[in-house]
This record gives sequence, C-alpha cells and structure tokens, in this order.
Amino acid sequence: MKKIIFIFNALFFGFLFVRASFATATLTPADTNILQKISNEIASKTASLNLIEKRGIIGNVTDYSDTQITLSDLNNNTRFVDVDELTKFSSPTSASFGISDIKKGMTLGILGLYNKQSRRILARDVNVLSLPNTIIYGAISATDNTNFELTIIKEGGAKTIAEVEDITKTYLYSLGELSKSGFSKITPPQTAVVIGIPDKQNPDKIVASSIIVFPDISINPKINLFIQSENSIVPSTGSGRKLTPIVK
Amino acid sequence: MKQERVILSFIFVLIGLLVAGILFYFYQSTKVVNNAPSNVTSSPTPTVGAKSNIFITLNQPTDEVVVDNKTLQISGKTITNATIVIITDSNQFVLQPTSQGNFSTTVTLDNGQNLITIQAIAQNGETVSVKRTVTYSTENF
Repeated sequence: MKKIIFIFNALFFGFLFVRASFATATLTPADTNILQKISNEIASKTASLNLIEKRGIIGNVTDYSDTQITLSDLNNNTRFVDVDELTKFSSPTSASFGISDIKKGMTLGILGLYNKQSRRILARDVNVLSLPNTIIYGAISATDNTNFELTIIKEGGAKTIAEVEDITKTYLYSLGELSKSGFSKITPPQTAVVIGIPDKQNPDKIVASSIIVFPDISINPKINLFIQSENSIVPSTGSGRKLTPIVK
Repeated sequence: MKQERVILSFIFVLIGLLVAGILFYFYQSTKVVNNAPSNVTSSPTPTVGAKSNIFITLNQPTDEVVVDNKTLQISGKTITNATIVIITDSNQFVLQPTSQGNFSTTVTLDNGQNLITIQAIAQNGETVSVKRTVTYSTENF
C-alpha cells in the first residue's frame, strides 16, 4: 500500500514539474501574440488613465529656484512647476528672458505637462503675462462729470472709483441688445460691470477699459447705496436747525 | 494481484490527469475576455456658485485646458431670465440663456493663456461667476 501511495505521489508531482517546466521554457507564436495583446491592453489602459496631460495655468510667482517655480494660481492654490533644459521662456519686454529673470510677484503663464499623481507641471513654455483685467460688478452710485469718474459700490459696501478714459468703451445692455453708449448716458444708480486695470497708486481705483451698464437689472440687494451716501447728508432736527457733530 | 492494482491505479491517475488537462485546455480556449468599455461615464463636474438663488454650471471649457483651435465653445446652464456676461482678455459678450437656462456661444482665443470669466446676473441683481484658464497652443510636446 505504501508503495502505491509513493508511486502515485511521484507520478503526480513529476507530472506537475514537467508541465510547469514545459510551460515556462517554450513560448509558441500564439503565446507571444497573447502577451503582445496583454501588453498593448496595459499600455492603452495606462494612456486612458491620462496620468499626464497638457495644461496651461496662470499664477503669480511666490518662490523660484533653478529647477522649480512655485506659483499661486487664480484660485490661490499653490502650484509647483518644474523647469528643465527644454523649457522655453519668453517675455513681451525682453528677448533674452530666462529663469534667472523671474522675480517674486510676476504673473506667469505656464504651458506644460501636468502629472495627476505628483500634481506637478513640467513646463514647456513659460510666458510673462501682464496683469489680468480687474472685473468689478456693482452699482454705479455716482458720476463725476468733471474728472470723468464713476463710483462703484460692490457687495459688502466696498467702493471703487472707475476712471473713464478716451479709450474706455461704454455699452448699454437693454432688452436683449448690447449697444454702444457713453459716459453722459449713465444715470445712477445702475447695475454695471466694469473691466479695467488697477491703478498702481490707488488700490481703490481702476482705469476702465470697458463698462457695461444694465438698466433692466435691479441693484443687488446686498449692495447698500444708502450707507455710502449717508455721510454726505447733514441730519436735521426738522425745525430747520441742522445738527453738526461735536468736535472735541 | 498487487501488481495489477498498481498498474490500474497508475492508468486511472493518468486518465484523470488527461481528462483534467483537456478540460482545462477547453476552458482556456473558450473563455471570452470582455473587452467592451466600461459603462462608467464621467460627467462634467458642475461649478456651482455659493449663492442661494443664482447658479452657473459650465459644461465646457474645463479649467486649464489646452486647445489647438482658436474658436472655443462656452456652454452651460444657469437660472432662466439671467443675463450671462462672458469676459475674455480682449472682448466682452452678453447673452440670454434659453427658457431652460442653457446658454452656449463661441469666442475667439488669443495665443497662449486666456483668462475667461463667465458671470451670471439675476434680474434682482444677484450674481455668480466662474473663471476658466484656456490655453491656445499648437505646439506638440
């Protein structure tokens, strides 16, 4: 009986060994095709995962080195940009712009390969951009016909002065039509969108490049025009005698 | 007698292995590998503003996309009776959505990075806006 069991085991394991050796030792053309198909499948699946894709971002430089630029993007997220010998640099003001010319606070446009795993961009093009336009939405509370300025009140009560220049384009959007307008046709209070460039000397002022006035749209309920104008009103007792603040 | 049993056992084992091998071969050769694409589809992530009434959802473009066509379609959904203002680096567009709140238009891109602001303004003055960075480039890398 022991002999039978021994023979049976020997045959069984011998068969398995021979079969395994045979399977690993020789690859038929059919097996090669299958392997090729599997590797192609893996390659296509990897590509479909899109681990790397082209991306373009805009951001302000917060830090830089010879191989890396750190940006704060438009959503105030920190972005890491790698640069290598293939990265091209350009600036509208300098033909020989390079990584050594990058300074903190610069606005850069980055075009490169974004890796979804590492969340880093390998830059292929780095361009210096001018400051993006400032867009202000609010209510025109007053016009200054002497200095050609508009007072815009935003949500929360912040006030911005929009300077109107000769190049400023003024539009009126009413009844579904956008038409050209002018400074003199603006009658506060009106809802408006003002696009312009921030004044470097006065942070509360912009030089308007375009103004779109919406006379059909109500003033945003979150904009309180009264708060802004109450300082200019001198309170009265009703008897003709005006109250003035006590100055110590 | 014992010798016969051994031989019979050996023969049965061989037959068993042979049958198992044949069955395994047929199983491998007839197995169908499903190469059909998965039914899982990705839908565009809506970008909803934090306002209570007014909202804007952009179908396209996606943020930070790189395109090789100067003409870019912008489409999305907002509340009915809203006014849509699209502001690019060099142009402004104002349009009305359909009665279902859908809107769509095309803009022309400048070279390089384009910052596009899409703002929806309700009739009561409430507003919400989204920004997209779209890069025009024909460069291959």
